[in-house]
Amino acid sequence: METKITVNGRSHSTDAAADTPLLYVLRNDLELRGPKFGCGLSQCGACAVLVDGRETRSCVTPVAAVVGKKVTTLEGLPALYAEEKQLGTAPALHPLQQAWIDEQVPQCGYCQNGMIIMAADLLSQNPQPSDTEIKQAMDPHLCRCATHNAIVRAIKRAASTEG
Amino acid sequence: MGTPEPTPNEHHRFTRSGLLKRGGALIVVIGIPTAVWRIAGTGSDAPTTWPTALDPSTLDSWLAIHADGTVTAFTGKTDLGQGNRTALSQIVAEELDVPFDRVQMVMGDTATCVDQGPTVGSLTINLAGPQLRQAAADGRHALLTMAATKLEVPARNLTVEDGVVSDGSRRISYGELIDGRLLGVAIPVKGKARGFGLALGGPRPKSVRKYKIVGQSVPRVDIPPKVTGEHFYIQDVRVPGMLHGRVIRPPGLGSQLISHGKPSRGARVVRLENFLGVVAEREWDAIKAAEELEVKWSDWAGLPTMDEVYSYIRKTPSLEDTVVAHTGNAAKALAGASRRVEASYTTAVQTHGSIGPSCAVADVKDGSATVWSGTQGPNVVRAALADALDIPVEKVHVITYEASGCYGRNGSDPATIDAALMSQLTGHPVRVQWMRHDEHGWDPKGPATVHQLRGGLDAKGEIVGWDHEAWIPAFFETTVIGSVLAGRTVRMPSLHLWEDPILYDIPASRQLAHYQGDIGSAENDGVGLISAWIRSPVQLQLTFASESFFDELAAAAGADPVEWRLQSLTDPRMTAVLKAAAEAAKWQTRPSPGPNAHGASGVARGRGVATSLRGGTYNAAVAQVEVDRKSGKIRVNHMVMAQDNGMTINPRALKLGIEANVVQTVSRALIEEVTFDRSNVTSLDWEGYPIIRFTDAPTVDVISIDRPNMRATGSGEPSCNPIAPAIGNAVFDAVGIRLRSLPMTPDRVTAALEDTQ
Repeated sequence: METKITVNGRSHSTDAAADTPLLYVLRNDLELRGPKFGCGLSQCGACAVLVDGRETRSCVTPVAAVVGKKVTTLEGLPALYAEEKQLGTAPALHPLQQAWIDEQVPQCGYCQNGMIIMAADLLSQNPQPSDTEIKQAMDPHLCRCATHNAIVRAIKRAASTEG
Repeated sequence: MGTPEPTPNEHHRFTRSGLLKRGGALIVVIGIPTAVWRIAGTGSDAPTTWPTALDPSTLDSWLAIHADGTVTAFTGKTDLGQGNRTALSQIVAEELDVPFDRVQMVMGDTATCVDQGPTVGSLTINLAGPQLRQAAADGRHALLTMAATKLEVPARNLTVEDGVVSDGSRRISYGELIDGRLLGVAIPVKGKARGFGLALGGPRPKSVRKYKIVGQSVPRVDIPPKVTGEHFYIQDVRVPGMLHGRVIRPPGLGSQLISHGKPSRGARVVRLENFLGVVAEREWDAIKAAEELEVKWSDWAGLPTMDEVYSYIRKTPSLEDTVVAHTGNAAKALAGASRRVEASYTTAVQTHGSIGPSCAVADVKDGSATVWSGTQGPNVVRAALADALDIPVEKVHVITYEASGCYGRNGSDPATIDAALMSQLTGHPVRVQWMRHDEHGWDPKGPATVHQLRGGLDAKGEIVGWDHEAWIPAFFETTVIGSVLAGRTVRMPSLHLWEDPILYDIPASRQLAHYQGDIGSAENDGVGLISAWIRSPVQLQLTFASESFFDELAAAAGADPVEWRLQSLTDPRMTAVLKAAAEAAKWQTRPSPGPNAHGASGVARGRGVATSLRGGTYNAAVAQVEVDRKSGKIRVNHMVMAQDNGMTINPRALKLGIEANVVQTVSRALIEEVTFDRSNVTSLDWEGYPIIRFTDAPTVDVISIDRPNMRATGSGEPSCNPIAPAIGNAVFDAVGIRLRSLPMTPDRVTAALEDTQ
């Protein structure tokens, strides 16, 4: 039984069982490395992707649930940005990815996929968030290295370069 | 012919081709692999025997200078997320006089990298840095010698800039000099041939005054691929023909496997005695099969309960009782003191809590093992693999990839053994990733500790005697759980020793360690709540007790906590660090508790200070806290952290690493506690073991005192040590209660507040 999904603007077929969480299809069938396995319980956010633009935990989302929807992973953020801004070609980096580099955010970096995805969702809803709004929006995502302050700085930087 | 094997962990930076022959093994360095997802190493032409240890006296073991002028440096160290790859590359580029971006670093491959000891104890910059610096100085000397011959001028008449040698009129690049050959130069080895004590000889490295790359905030090379998803973590490694494995662990530490049922579709069971797992071609099939397999285990209940764990530790016979340090006669001084203070402190069991559960891939066949691991100690796990698989160490090749931040020995090593056992049992390459409950349940734990502190003041209020006695249930080795279950018990060597030097001028003092086996190990053939310290082995616990207790003495003497420390500190570097922290925090001189500490209700504010010295790195912290008397919740609003680690290699990376370490340790000080029952750990996910979130993370002000003429010491661990006591001392300042147990949870605050009423 084939399932057709759209990831980063491309259509893919997978023969994975319909109850397979999207995460394993992305990582093992599509060979994407952005989304990470963290808990499988929707507790940490390392697996986050955008589904129709909203942050979604791919570790608990069955692949069948995203049929007909647009899935964007960390790898697809530059193209999504180009689409939103109606740019002819995608930049190498989404402004959030650039801000993450400018602020030298990651330590180990394992959680940062989910952090950047969540920040993309936040800025699409609230382009100029306050510090408090950023912290509240990011609160469901865990970072063991504790780069929280650097993440807040990077989101503010991205918001200011866009604003 | 198999796919060429990329040298490890350099996928994102190689842009050229080259061929290197080193150590008897042919290594093909290729361009950015187009299909790196499938990493080879399993082809029919892959070697099956590797050197026992790479020879450090051959310059080619350390450096490869390529015809295009780029440089590959090889290090047995790994990058755990704090920027070692960048910092070590800076050191090599500086010493060779080549631009930073021409240096690549191959890390933690046992076949191609000299064993410089495991990446632990904040010892990479401190010990491996000088080793690589000297190797690079030797490399520069070798290249200058080649140039002198070629240009027929004395080497002293030559200069180097950006990898180009010049005699004033003629220029020749390193790439032209080496022309695709090996360096072929022997270098003197002083001291040991491997590990921390390895020391190289040769020409004196460059003067610090000439540094252009070391000391600069070079952007970390690992960060761009980490924000695009291109970075290869150990969790991303796949090899052809690989199966996905999952482990099934017993409910109790000492439970025996009685029977198991049939696995669900697509999976098969792997078993060796009590070692149980499943493998499947599809990862989800393996996960479901592990979840659904019916397994009967025997009961086991040999752990103390959480309520009795501290008295259990106090009563447990020691493996060794050691006077770590002593000055004068502490017992006599305490007996003669005009005022005596005594208190006991405890710290809870904590977990490493890596966001990515541990993972490894192993291909064991024909008596030989190629293993991809997220380990901190490739050579340590190599020896453990040889033991667990019962094959010679020369038949094991460990290739290290960066893992999720571990902050100590998390599940990486045991997961590596799990993958190897499953591969040996199935005859296929197997990738094992632990599930969340495996990582929370079975990563070796930072053990609970107990402390007894005694202090004596004379009539003038000066400290005349000090005694710190600690019960420490962790000693020299970490048991590998999979090997125990499989009946092939392997214990990996580990550093567990007391580090918390007395910084003050106290005429009589003693530090006494009672080292014990793991909690509960006496009831289960030496396998208890398996221990391996989290960031800052033993010192986070020791300094919490000693610096909190020092504050108790300051309060007993009615002294300001900063002033009192300054009067008594003996090392000017520590004095400078403490003054820097106090100044940045706008410290107001007065004794604790503060004037509003004894209010009846509401939120009280306080500030506290603490210092520490670890591995030559000096720290002082000031915590600014709020305590909600009603809920008992402590909120750390702001932390100042001052640090002197001698020379700083990369100031920005250093400061960001310290900032993160501070927030992580605030989490450990306030909320982190592993729960367990008499059988095993019961905090098996992030609800059971919460860590700090954005809304509770304090702001951090990092003050770095750079001393470019002093040896660079470590930074990963040291700054965590003064944080918990600074917070506890701030709570005392705010509400007048002394918190003597970590973590400082609302329950403990509320109980302490009730005790004072």
